[in-house]
Amino acid sequence: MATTNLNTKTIGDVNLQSGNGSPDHVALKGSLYTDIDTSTLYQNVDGNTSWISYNSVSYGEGFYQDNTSPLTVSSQNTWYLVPNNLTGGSLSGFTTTNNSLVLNSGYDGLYNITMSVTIQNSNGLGSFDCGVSKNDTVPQQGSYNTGTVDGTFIYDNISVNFDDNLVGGDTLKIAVRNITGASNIIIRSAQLIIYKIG
Amino acid sequence: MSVLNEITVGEINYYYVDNKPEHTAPKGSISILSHNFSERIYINNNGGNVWLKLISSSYGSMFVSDRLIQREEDIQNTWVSLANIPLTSGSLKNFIVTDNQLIYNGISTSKCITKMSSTIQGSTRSKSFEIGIAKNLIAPIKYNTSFPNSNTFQKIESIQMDNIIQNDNFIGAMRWLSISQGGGPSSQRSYAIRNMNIKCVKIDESSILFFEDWETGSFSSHNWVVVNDSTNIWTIGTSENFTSGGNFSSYISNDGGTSASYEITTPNISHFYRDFEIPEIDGDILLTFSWKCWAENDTGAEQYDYGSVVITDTTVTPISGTEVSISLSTLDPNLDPTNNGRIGAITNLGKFNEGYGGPDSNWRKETINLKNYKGTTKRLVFSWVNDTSVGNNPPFVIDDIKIEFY
Repeated sequence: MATTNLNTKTIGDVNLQSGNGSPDHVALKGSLYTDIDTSTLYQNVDGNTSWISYNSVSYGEGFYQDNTSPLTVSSQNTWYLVPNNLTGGSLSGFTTTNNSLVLNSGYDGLYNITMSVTIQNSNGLGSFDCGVSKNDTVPQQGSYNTGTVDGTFIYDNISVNFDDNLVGGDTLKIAVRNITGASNIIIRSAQLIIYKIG
Repeated sequence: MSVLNEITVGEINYYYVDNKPEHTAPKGSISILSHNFSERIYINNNGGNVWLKLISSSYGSMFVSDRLIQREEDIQNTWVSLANIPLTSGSLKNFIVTDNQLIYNGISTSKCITKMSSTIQGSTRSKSFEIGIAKNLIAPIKYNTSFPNSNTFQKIESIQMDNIIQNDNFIGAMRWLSISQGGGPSSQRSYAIRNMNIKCVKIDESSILFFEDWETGSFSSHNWVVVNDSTNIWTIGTSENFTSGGNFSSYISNDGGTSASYEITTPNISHFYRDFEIPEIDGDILLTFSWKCWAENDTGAEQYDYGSVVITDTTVTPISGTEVSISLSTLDPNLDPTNNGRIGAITNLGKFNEGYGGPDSNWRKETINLKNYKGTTKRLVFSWVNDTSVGNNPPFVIDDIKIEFY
């Protein structure tokens, strides 16, 4: 989005500026511009229209390893939330509550989300989608991937990486569905890592 | 926290502050912090009092593709590093690739996300494999599992967050769990790492709460209390130094500080300690320090010559000739300490010596996460222990003790 409502103060050879939208305007090299809409700070790098952004810090990590309890799957193509509690790793702007990562109030923004899990055969052949549920809704397209296990090849790894806008209070949980039948599945290990990118 | 100065540009404000900002301001406002140890910029994220730190970027990656070399690994349930797989450097900023390890060479203590993606090719008798990332050659605590079919390919990924300091390294690690069709010749149990990519991205930088570089030449100037034994005693001197631009460190000496050396036939236990208020703040709180120690190691928790770092209650007063603790603090699932006891050097029962670092006189760095002690005041004790025979210099040498937070 182009810069709108631009305000400027000049200090020496640089400008201090604010406005709405990502910058595309000409400014003195080294100038700082704040996008009020997204709370993003940019710096002009060429004295023309090129700007770089600074990364603002917010992140959360939850994981568990070596679970052996199966998750009951009653119906094909139905999403189920994985109930296993997450151990909180590094947290800044997030908290862990049981099986979810929760974004704290005031930390709204665009986040990169990575989930990586191991699925383990429980009672038969099956192909499973595993993904990330926001606020207990079914995972959206782009937020899940697929793996297959059977009686011989009992483990598979499913990983997915995507971006999503989050607001304070949003909860993120791991969810799974069987797309080939109604057999149970063990989510043996899981890592869920989120960090702010905009 | 105080606002020392401010200017307004349109709808936002720029503040000069003396601590991490906590005040209410318009969304998008900027706070600039500068104090003795840290310089930081924060941006207001909600028009209230939520401020997010701004950081510069650091990243590194290394990879290998299309390998066809089969290898064998016949020790079941044992993590092995993938050190013999030749990796090519990818994009690097404040990272280097050496000996197939991704090594951080940035200055600031940082937090990073590390991700490993790999493709494994099974063989005639396939196995289940676990893949993870080893930091500083410590077995992974976060990993995933897969089971490649005979002579086919399977992708495995693993991701984790870590606190990193200069020279920390990452390398891929693997262990196999089971074979699908019994034993068979080892040639049928081999596997290949066909593709592998390890990538690390910095997502946070620490700020410093406390810094001890010994450049005052005194323990008491920063309120350290020294409890020395008879011969091998803590001193501050110029025989050793790690601080950039500095001259001093603290070390065990048996010659009044002329050298970092100890009398191996005189059993001694000496300490220095001070109390720290661990603040109740969001995020990790890290104790970091540089150290060296060759000394003498064996398998027992009190064998034989070593340094140790103990966290304990402020009511516990160290005395010469006696260890404050001979047990590691209980570790949480992230391998961070949770209660009183030895902290750091967790793969060597809390002993800093050749068994943890190596039989040499090289400087090393240690990072210990104190997040489980937030809101308490604890006593931090640095100790030296030696028995009556055998040993190698240098004994325990300490420099650049920092308490940092995110």
